[in-house]
Amino acid sequence: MFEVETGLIFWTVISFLILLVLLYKVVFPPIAKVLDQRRQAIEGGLEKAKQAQAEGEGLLAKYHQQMLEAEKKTREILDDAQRKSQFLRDETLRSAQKEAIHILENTKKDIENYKRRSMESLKEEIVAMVVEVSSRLIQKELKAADHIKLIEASIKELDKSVKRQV
Amino acid sequence: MSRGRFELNIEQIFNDAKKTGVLEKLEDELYSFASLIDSHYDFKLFIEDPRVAATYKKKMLKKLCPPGISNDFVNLIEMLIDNGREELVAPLSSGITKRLFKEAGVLFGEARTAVPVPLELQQQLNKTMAALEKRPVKLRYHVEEKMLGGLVVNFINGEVWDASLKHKLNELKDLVLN
Repeated sequence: MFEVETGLIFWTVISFLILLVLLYKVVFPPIAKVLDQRRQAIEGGLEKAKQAQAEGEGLLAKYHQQMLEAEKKTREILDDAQRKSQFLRDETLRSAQKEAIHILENTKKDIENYKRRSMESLKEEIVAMVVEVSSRLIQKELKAADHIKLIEASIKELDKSVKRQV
Repeated sequence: MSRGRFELNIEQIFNDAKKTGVLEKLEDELYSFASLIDSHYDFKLFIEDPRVAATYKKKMLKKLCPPGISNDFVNLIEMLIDNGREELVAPLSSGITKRLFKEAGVLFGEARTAVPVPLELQQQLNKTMAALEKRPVKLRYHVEEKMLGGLVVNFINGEVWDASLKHKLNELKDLVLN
């Protein structure tokens, strides 16, 4: 049934060894070389990827930094604008209040002046009316003899001026 | 009547009147005539109207003149009428008065009152005004019925002495207002 043929085993082993030697000497070196190149290429790629990743991370960090700075600057600008706006608003308000007070004072003065002028005008009109009425009454009431007396009085008054001159 | 070239030589008229010894009378007559023209607008229109014949004007002038009026006055007015320059009566009167004032040192003035001033008061006023002006004065009295009362004296040198009732009322008015 099962018989061990030592000769066949022998030659098989020999063939196998020869094949192994052949493989080891002829086939394996180029394959190993290719594999080594491949490994080196992959390692190079990995290295480059690592470098790129490091560069990317650096850039990202820089970007973050820039973003933070930009944010800080923006906040500063906004704060400054807000301060300026507040100052401007306060200033405008103060100026408007001042102007309003000024207008109010001027209006008060105008009203006072107008009142004073009106009073003066009224006073003038009343006095003019009194003088006019008095004149008419005098003209109506005075007789020739009264006029002569008035002329005498006027001369006496002029005489007093002479005495004052002396 | 023509309105040709005519120049009123007051100096010559003054000297002529002075030579004939009628200067003061002429001055007085001219003043009265100028006052008449000034106070009667109708008469002013008549005497200055170029359409009225000179002969008619002269005839009317002679009718109006009271007796005793000087020939120099009549001649002067007739000369103005002939030259169609009747409007020069007032400047002539004023010129002669001023010239006489300059010559004699007498200050001429006009006293305006509401009623005629009695002679006694006139003399008193003349004396007072002479004392005030410190020189002889000659006042002419003029009645102005519209005056309220008192008197106003205007001198030809521009001085005014106002002792009228109206002036006193105005002073009172100023006193009240101020």
